[in-house]
Amino acid sequence: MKRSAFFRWALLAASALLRGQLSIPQLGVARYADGSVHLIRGVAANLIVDSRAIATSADGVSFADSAGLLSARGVIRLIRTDGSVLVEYQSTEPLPVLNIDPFAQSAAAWLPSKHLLLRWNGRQFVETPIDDSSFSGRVTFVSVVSSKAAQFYVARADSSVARIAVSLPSGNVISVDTAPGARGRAFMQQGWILWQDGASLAGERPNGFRQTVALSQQPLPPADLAMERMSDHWLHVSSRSTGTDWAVYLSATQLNVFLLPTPVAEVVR
Amino acid sequence: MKRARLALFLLVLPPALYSQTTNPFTLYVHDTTGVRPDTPLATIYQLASTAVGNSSPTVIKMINTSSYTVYFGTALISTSATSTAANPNFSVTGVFEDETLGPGASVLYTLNFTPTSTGVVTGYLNLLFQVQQNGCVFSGSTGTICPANVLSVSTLNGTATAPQLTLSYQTAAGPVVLTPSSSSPLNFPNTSLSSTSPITFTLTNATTIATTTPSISLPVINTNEPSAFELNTSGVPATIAAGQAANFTVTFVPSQTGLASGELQIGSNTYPIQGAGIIVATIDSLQISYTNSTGTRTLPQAATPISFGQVLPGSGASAVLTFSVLNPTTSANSVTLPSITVSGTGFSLGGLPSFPAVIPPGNSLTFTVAFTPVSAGSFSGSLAIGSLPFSLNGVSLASGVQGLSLTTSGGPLSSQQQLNLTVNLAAPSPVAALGTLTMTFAPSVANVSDDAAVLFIATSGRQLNISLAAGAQNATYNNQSSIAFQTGTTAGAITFSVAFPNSATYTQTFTIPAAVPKITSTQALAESPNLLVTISGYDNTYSAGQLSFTFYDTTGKIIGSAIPYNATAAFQQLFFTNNQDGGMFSLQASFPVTGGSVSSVGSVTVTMANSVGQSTSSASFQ
Repeated sequence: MKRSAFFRWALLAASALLRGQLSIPQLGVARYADGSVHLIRGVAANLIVDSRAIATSADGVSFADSAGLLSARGVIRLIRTDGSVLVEYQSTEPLPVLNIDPFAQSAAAWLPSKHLLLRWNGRQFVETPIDDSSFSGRVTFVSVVSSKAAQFYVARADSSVARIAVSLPSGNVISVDTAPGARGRAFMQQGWILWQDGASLAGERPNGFRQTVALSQQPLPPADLAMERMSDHWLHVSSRSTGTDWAVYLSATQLNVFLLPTPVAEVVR
Repeated sequence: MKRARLALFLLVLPPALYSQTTNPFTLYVHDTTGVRPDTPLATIYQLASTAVGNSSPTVIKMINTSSYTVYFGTALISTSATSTAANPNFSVTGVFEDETLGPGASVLYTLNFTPTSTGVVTGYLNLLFQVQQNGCVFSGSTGTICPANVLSVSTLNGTATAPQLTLSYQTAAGPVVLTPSSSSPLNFPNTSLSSTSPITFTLTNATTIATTTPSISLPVINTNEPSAFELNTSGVPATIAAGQAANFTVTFVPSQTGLASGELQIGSNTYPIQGAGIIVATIDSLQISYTNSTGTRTLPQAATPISFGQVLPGSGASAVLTFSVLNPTTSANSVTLPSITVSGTGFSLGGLPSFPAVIPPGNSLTFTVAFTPVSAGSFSGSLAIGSLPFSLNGVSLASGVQGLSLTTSGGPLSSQQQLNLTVNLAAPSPVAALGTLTMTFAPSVANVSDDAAVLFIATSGRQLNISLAAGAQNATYNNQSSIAFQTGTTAGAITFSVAFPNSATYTQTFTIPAAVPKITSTQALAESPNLLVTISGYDNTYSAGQLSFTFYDTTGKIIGSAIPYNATAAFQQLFFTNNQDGGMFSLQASFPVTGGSVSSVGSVTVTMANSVGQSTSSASFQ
């Protein structure tokens, strides 16, 4: 009875908060093939692309629920999901590899032409030179796993995926192993390691559980799928050859794939 | 970037390196069909004799047979064994640039013999690479960079024979032979809009054997810009005998002033052409436009027929185009039009002025041309506006598209679905046709006009241009017969309409019934001193409001009783104030805890009700 009275009191406080906490759900942010970046509203299988573009010529994005990284014309910006800029960095890097995880100081960018890892320490971007002489391939994913270490996924020439841990204080390689099963341009989000498997998207959990979702009835060329984070739990997958976009929800146990609408309505002549 | 670095190193290589480098590769001539086994590429390799203007490919399989990892920069064919200057008689295609090859790894690429002049031609196949040995690295800011090497591995000899076919045209100074894909288009003379300029081309077989005549065409470059050129190949034989030639004509027929461009296609060779339409008489200054069902077309050209589309025969139905003749000049001079005539079965004029018709500056006159076929078939005609000629065509179909139906994947429709729609015909279509597929949405919720999530996914719109091939039983969009769409989160009815020319519009309506609230996700977060509960979902009736929260301790025992809360006013404000996004919502409730620890609360169950019923969802506190 005492507890019940406590919670009834608590509800009174909650009711005052509820009105301001009811909104249209925002699912994430996606960059399309034309470089435009749009906010996506909705729930699973019911997606709406905001007609107003956050940016129009981005060459890479990575978003968490509250903020994200956006690269355009050699400038990397840390922005909110409404497009407002928190801070920017002149990278002159044409194709940086971006990533941001749910926690605040995870925003990072790999600048391959400068051999630099750029990361946000909560106040400013910090440059860490990385010894990538032993990488022997293209970096497809980077993540700051702690204040002292970062993890790289590297696509090797034989299509296997190297998982390389790097010390952030020194920039030296700590360990190298092969991600079992993964092939080509691997990506990671919510504990899933993800890669293109023919015309399918394949994902594997740390416990070895693997799921493969067919994306196309037709064969897709190798290295056709591009992946970018839309938010904490949503991933944007796009096909360069078909122009199709998908939004993938990553739960702890399953990959759920939905078609992502295009941002511009067709003009019928 | 790596390739640039490799090239930079080459500049400082000592000349002796060409002969001192150990070759880590073994090269084979490769048959991609797998019929013939690979054969080692000889140090002196004889290529197939090739006519000037043609190309002979040789596929190479290159294997790293060393015990080291090799960074393969590129392969090129140069003018000498000690040079990296590209030889214009060769090209290398299919090289996977900046490839790292482990021991045993291989790559395929193609050596193309593309002679530019007759005679014996020699090229030198050079490989650019680094070998990772003695602890060196390919790139990076630390360590010893592996030396870059360029190595000549084979001398390629080939004989370039005389070209098989040459294209030329006659000028006062003699014949001029044209070069395919030239950056300088062949210029037709400036031509009055009421005149034409033909050029006769000669295709000569300079060999000693007869050859099949390649296809000759004027490909459409831009469908919105009709071609100003006409092609006449009626005198061209299927085969051109040895030493013989064939003539054909391209005529520049401008109907608008300014530069007009095009391409003459001979087999796989492309020859750019261009000409300028000019005004040499007052009647040339008239600007002609016409209006059809898709809008106003302002650039009709005499060389491209004006299409009247498809009309049912013998039904009395007509396709009518309205023409406008504008005198765009600002001078005081009027233009006098002596006549407007039309010829051709099924074509007729209407709304003509009296002739001679005087058009003052800035003024225009209009008239109509109707296409009224009496039988099935294709019809052509001509229209003359004074001395300005235009050609016309129209098609009369025996029948329109019939027997349409629609099917969706996934059974009866409900909210929050992505489904595929298929446009079916009961029997193979007798005709090819272009049509439109339209979807409309009528909410069944009072005071709600739309739901923006009801859309075709391919365009985020509600109308698509679809096509139907002759003999097909499904219409397609972007060559796909399955057309994806969303059902939104509002109860109501989606109506699809399919319209093809000369066919009754087919419509089919799918009902989305009202349903209980759907909670798609529930998150519970203990952030001392608060408990945060976030739920997302939708209510397709827009009537939700009554909530209740039931808390459980970490052993699963209920804490107190369910706590009701009426959020109707908040939901009504969300759903009915500037909302086009349907019945979606995201709700976050915060419960301050002051009499105990948030860690003692294990889970929460949320119940939500609307006018249809209620639904429940649970989550454990994180």
